[in-house]
Amino acid sequence: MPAVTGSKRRAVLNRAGLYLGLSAFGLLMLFPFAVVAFGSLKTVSDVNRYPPRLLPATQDVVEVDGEELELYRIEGQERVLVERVDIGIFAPPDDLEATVQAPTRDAERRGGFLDTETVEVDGEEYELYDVTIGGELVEGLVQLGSTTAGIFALPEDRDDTVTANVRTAQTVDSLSFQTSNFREVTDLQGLDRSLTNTLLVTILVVGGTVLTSILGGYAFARIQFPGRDAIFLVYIGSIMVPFVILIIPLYQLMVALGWINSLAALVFPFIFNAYGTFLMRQFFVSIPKDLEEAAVIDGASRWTILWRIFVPLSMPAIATLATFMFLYAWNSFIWPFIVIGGGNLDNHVLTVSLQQLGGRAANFPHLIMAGVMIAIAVPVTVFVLAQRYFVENVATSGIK
Amino acid sequence: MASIRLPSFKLPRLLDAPRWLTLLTVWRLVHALAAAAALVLVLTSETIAGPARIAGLSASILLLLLDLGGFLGLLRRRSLGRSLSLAADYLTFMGAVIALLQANGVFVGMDALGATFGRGVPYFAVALLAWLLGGAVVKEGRDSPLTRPLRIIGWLAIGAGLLAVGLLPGLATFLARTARPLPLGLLAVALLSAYLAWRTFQGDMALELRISATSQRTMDGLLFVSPNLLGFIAFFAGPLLFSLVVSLTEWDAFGAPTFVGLGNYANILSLNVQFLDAGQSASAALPAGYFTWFTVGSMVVGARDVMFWTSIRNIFVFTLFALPLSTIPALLLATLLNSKAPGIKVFRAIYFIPSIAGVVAVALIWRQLFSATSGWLNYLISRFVVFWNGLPLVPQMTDPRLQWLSDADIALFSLVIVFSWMFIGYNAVLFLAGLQGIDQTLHEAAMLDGANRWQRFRNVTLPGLRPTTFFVIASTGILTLQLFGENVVLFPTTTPIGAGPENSTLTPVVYLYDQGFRRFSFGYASAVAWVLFILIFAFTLVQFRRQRERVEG
Amino acid sequence: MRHARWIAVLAALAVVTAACGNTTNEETTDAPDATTTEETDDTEETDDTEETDDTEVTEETEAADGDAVNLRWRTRPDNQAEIDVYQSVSDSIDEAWAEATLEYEPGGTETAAYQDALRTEIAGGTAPDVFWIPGTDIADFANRGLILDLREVADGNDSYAGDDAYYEGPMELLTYDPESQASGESLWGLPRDVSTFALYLNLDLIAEAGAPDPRELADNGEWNWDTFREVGQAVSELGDEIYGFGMNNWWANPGIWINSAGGSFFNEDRTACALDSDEAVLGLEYMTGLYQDQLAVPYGEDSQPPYEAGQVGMQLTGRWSTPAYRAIEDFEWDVVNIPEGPAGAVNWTFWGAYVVNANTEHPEQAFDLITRLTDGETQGQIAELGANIPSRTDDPDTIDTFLTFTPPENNQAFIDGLNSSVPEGPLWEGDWPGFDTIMAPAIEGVVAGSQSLDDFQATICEQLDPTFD
Repeated sequence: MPAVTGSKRRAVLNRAGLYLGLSAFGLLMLFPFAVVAFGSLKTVSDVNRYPPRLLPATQDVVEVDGEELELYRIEGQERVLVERVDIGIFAPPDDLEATVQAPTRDAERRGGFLDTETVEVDGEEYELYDVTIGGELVEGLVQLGSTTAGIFALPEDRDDTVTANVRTAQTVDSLSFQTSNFREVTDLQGLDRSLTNTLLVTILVVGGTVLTSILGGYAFARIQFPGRDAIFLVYIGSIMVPFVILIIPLYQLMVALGWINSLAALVFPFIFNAYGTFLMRQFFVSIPKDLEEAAVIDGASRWTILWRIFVPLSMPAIATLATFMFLYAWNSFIWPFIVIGGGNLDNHVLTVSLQQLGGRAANFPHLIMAGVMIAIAVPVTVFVLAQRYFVENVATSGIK
Repeated sequence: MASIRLPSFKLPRLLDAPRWLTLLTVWRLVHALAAAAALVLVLTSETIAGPARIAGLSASILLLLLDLGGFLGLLRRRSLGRSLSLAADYLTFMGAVIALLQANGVFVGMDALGATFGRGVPYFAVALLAWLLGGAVVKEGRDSPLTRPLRIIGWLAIGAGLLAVGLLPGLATFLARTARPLPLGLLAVALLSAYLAWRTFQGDMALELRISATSQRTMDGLLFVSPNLLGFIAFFAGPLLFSLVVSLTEWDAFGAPTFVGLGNYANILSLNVQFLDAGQSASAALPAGYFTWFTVGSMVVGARDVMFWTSIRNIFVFTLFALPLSTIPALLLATLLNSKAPGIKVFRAIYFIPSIAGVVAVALIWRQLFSATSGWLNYLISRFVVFWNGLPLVPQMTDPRLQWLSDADIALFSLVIVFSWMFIGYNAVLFLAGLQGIDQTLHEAAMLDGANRWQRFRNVTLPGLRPTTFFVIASTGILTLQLFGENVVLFPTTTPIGAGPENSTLTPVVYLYDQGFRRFSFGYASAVAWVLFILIFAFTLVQFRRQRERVEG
Repeated sequence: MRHARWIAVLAALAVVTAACGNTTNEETTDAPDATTTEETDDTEETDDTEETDDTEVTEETEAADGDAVNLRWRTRPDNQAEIDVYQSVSDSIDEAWAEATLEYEPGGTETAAYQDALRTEIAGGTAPDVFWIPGTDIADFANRGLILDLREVADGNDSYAGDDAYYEGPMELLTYDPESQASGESLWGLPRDVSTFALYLNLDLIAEAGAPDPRELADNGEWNWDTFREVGQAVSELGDEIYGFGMNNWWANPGIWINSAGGSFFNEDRTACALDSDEAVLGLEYMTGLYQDQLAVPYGEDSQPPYEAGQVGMQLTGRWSTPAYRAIEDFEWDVVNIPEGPAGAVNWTFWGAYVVNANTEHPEQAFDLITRLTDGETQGQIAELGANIPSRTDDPDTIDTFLTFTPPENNQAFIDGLNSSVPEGPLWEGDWPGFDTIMAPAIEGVVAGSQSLDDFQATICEQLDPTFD
């Protein structure tokens, strides 16, 4: 009996450890997204704030005697900032270390402007002041420096004041979500247009690739013809060729076609996809031959067989290919950056818009974050809905 | 004989097979003359240059050869004649259609569609929803009473969406534009070629020429592959060859290219090693034209193109760190995920999200976290330092206040962090698929042999994962070697763009972009691309070899 | 189902077809075609040109003036407000000008990539007829033959105010003829506006630190490298996340210190590197000191957000930052001229020019547009934004109007800065992008301490000299 409980306990511990590890890693993955999601709802001063905080908040304001005043917490009491004053740092001439601070308006220069009294300390000449500190007049101080501070009063009693540094004073904040950021960033960078452009490009690329891949994959899988295997080998080889090598010649091709700065340049070069053809071919090969034989005997054409037998059976593979191309088209950056990154903002896709937003709104990180949220909303939604196919896509690409 | 039939409508065949054969033979000659004329036009024209010239030349020569071959074949009543003739007419048809669309501005007109497309999106969403619902109510392959109405709603929504997007004015303009001499001519050519090809493809012609099954299959196969293959040639194979030619020239994209042979490659790759005498400066020791790449002790390595070699060093260091950091934790994660515990799929999904967010978004997210003045990363580190220093009996730490993006010693590692963060989850899912493919009986056998967990991992899991490991390393390596987007977004203001502080994040693709699209040395940039290609190829090959050896050993 | 698929294919085709319909109906296409036929006076042919002419036309304008010349023009926008103003400038010129129809398009980016994208578009044949480029890039565009020499067109244009109506420094560089190597002969464009650096002060931080007000120091002639450093030091001592000084990382920023030390990027006639002079190195040494003593926002980090968040005492940036800073509510701010170094306070004259695409169909009208874009009225309209300083010097009123657009109160600081300044690049006898590409990382190395100043002095010009012809 003890052995059983022991292993049970170990199983429970194991499980707990598993969840702990997974959660820690999940936090690592989600935290940056959380920063951006909340950041996109902040005001500019909130997002630039140091130390940073996760949730968006703005400083509370109270109305005192018809005036809107900012609320702070000073020494445990909620107080409003009434005014900012210049503060002098004073000390007696015989002990420069014993400094006191007082508003400069409470300090009076001895002898006035015309006949200022001075004192020499350690070879340096200082002017002498009479300063009122806490209601008492202290005479004969020298001013060593100055700073500024705020006068904070109780909201219910404006005469009860304390003096403190405004910059480091703790503010009283409450949650507030600046949803207008999204509209602002959309107007700033034309993100609505970029979004529909991206949708259009993505739909065409996905649809086009699926179509050409089905046709090509079918031929490679089921139609024996001389040269087929050689062509197929070239196709597989081409998957290995990195895209960078095509940048310059493709750019020249786009120039020749007049497609620079045009969405067409983002669609047509990418719908003839060796990887997609390969994927469809592999799937078609695995479909048993006897399924189509009956149709062949009935005199069905290849076209009919392909669309009525193969395609319905291949929906998982097609979905997998579609998710792959979706991500590719939605997120591709280097090519759009080169070929449509110019001045025609109307043709920008999201990746290019976002990159430019990163420069244009460098002073407004909250807007950049809002832009990021807009850009990732669609892929994340699609991912949540079609998770299975995304994961399958990865899995099949790994095994093949 | 299975063949392709255009569904739902039949064209008249006009002539019987023997007469059609004669007509076709004559037509081939006419077509050949047209192709020859086009060839002469391209050769003599001064306005057709660059890719257009190459495409024009190859297309007209190809057509000419097909025509002549087809003509001879048809004369001798060979089946090859029919095949070549078909190919020529089919290609003419495709070319004419594409030229028609291009002449009518359809491709470029897509931009305008971008403006109106938004109006159609709600309708398309309705259609999608209707179909999804329609699919959901289908049970055991049987349509429910709801299926049909849903399908109709879907089609109506699509129609409404197309109208909203502007289908009717679009068609009107298309027709109006077609009513010009050039598009009309192209349309005529397209229709004629289409009919010719269709007629030649009919069964009676096949019988007339006694077409073999193989030949028929070849035609079928090529027809199916053709959209893909033509696009592949136009947008992949052709440009690839063009790139190779350009890399042998000096070309600024505005003027004419000058042939320089392997000069670009020589300039890129030239290195020179010298040993310094006491007191000698590095630059004095190197021959003219060489600049210091790096020095080790008294040895100085100089290069003609220091920036290229800097980019090679950077990408090497980057790969050295990013590759293990995005694969080893992924493998561990995958072993954790390979469990039947409830909720595991949620974690899998969470880990996967960074890889679908896209490079630009991810880099922008991290740019905020990396900020040295208000970023989370430094804030968390300084909180940790405060916490640590509060512990008893530990050596005190000082807050490092790292400059993630502006310190040349750190910037590259910031990129490593971004890259690894983005791909760990993705690679973990890859490994997970591999793990689930491993035969469980092997594990059980090892367990019976008394192997502990580590031994099982070492001797069963790892060998079983070998193909997956190869794929993960190869595909991740190909990505690391082409690093570009992260740089451009994280270092938008350095010169060149993306090069980072002191060129510390200058990667080969960043350098290629700078050479190509800022300095407009297209020839040089193409050469850089080829060198990078060879590098990537070598990397993949080495991985492949290693996998092979292990499997065989 | 089979029919359904065919309909789907047809629908896809229809969508593509629909694309071209919208082209003429509401939107604009994107290819100003070099093959555009000559403008015809023949009204019967207008229909035809509508179809073949791919330059951007909208229906209303076609209807209004059938044979108008269409011009596209572009400047680099630094913010939305600027885009709006340029749009309204474009509209009002368009309205007043019967001969041409204008279309303004904002450039896509505000970083250096603006002119790179423009080159790409020229190579692709989609660049606008008239565009603005920064002064540093004029020579590169001209030497590659991408922009027109407008001298002849200008001579035949009555409304051109003459070269001396603009700031002299930029005009000297804009009229350089690379063949005869002399100024005053060619005319590559006209300056849109000028700008210069100033220090944007966070008066609250400076007061809190008890440091003297730099504006008063400047009035008393005591605003120099020493007092600058003292103010910066005092502010940076306020806290860990407070910086005395901030500036961004691009060529002009280190340039300020080099200039004010008596050094320069180039020799006098801009034909060789001069960064190895003792003066230039002195300037870099001073600047490096600011960073190594941690007075400043780390070099290479963007210092604008912390300035706007109230963490930076003095921010070195150009006039163009003003519109963004006008939104600051959390602290008091103003500007002051840069401090005097050993050679005085030597600022930059930043400038950029409207130039004409070498492939334009209508050079005369394009030049006409440029003169209209730089006339007094337009300049006043743009100066109101706060981002720019008018480029015309022949009209004192323009300067006066500029001075009245506050904040900042101390607009005079910009005029003072301009009065003692060096005009920014271009390198007529060299390759500025190449120069910048080598100089920038070298300076970063010096600031970070990975390269010693001696090393820098010994090797920098050897590396840079190949970028000169």
